[in-house]
Amino acid sequence: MLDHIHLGCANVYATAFDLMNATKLGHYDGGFTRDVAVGQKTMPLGGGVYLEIESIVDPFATADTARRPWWYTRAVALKSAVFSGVCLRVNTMDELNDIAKRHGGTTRLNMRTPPDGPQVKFWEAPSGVADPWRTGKPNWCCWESRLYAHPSGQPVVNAPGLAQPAGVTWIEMGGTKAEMQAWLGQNPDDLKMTFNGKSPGVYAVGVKTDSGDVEIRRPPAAPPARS
Amino acid sequence: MPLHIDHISLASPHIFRSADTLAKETGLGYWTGEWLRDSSVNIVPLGPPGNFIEISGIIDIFSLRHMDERKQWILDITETGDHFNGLCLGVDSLEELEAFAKHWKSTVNRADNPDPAAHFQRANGYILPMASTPTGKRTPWMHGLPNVYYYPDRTYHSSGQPTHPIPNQVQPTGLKWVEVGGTPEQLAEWLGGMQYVEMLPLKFNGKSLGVWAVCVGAEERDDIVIRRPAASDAVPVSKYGEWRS
Repeated sequence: MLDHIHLGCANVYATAFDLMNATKLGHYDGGFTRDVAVGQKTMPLGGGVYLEIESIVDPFATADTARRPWWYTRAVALKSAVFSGVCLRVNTMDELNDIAKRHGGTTRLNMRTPPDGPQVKFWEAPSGVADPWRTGKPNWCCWESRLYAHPSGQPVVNAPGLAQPAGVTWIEMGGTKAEMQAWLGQNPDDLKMTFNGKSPGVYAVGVKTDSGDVEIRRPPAAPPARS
Repeated sequence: MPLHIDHISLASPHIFRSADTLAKETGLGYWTGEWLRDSSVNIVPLGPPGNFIEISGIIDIFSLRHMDERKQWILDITETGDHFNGLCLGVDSLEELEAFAKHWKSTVNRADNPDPAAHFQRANGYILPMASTPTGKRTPWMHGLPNVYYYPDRTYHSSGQPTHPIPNQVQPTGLKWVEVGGTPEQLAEWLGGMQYVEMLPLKFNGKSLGVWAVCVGAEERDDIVIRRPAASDAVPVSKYGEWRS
């Protein structure tokens, strides 16, 4: 099932606020990640799915361009927030280990420090191989027994006029259904994916809310495939 | 209240990490999400009557492609970690604020400026009405000197907003004192008289100008002293010459 969608940008504050105004979907401060100096805003989409909005917030830790997140260059070039990737969720570590093995990799622990206490932890795969997001493919995660603290279920800021999200109704991907099915090992229809035949990556997300459907459309971060 | 301390600014290379570190060090909670263009602040309320520390830093590194003196100053004073970079005083009326503006031969940055980009904005869109002086190309902070604020409506003042819950959180009971560099005479010259200096709970250490420590009372524990170098320790105030409005 879908777990989260990532949006990389220049200014996590302005991007989250502008998106909230446009969609009436609330957000909250997600804190910062450990390995790259990135700050996060989290926008719950309903149905156990969330949008992860991130930008670099430490000018020094990322002065070395090699340490900057890979989507940074694309966001700079396009002068826009970019969809960097999709993460799917499995229920058990056995399932995640099987997926990692099938793609020739391993699992790794992803950690984030929120403003309000214990670190947020989930495992993701495949690790130790080329990052699937960089070629527009989803990866997978497992929250083990910590779904009670899942980011999709946390309270948002008390902005006026917010809509209540009720889940992702579709997600528009590049490439073809056959390519995606080969990567996933499952029917992409189960994940409400549609395909536009363009270069790989996420192009748009449809979200159902109590005040109508909203569409979030941004360029994909994955560079166009070479022909 | 007569002239009083409103807040203290702590410049940080990474405001998320600095707030997390300060919370672990002191047990003081903080709230997040206020930003102005390329900068953001995490707010640490200090208790009644209404003071706070703002942990501030650049959060949009795209903006550094177009460098200016202010951004360079922030980078220079945070390259080696957190530094106190501003003492922010408060008055209770626009008339008092205008008197300080006149003293500095400056103007007032008005609270009713209709441009949202001129104000710090909270994550829910709220803009706290806030006026300040002096105005100008350079902030007096770069000279290690305080500026002054006036809030027409303090209902949602930054010191009174709920914080994120943190482990081992303590309840602050108010600002006790602020340690600053320089001498009372130097500050009196800046503010326009020793009577103003005597209104403020300041300790002078004779070092370079700026804030060096903040002491906060706390329920059921000893006072908390937050000690960080002043910005002038990283970039001498002499770099910016005499104050000009």
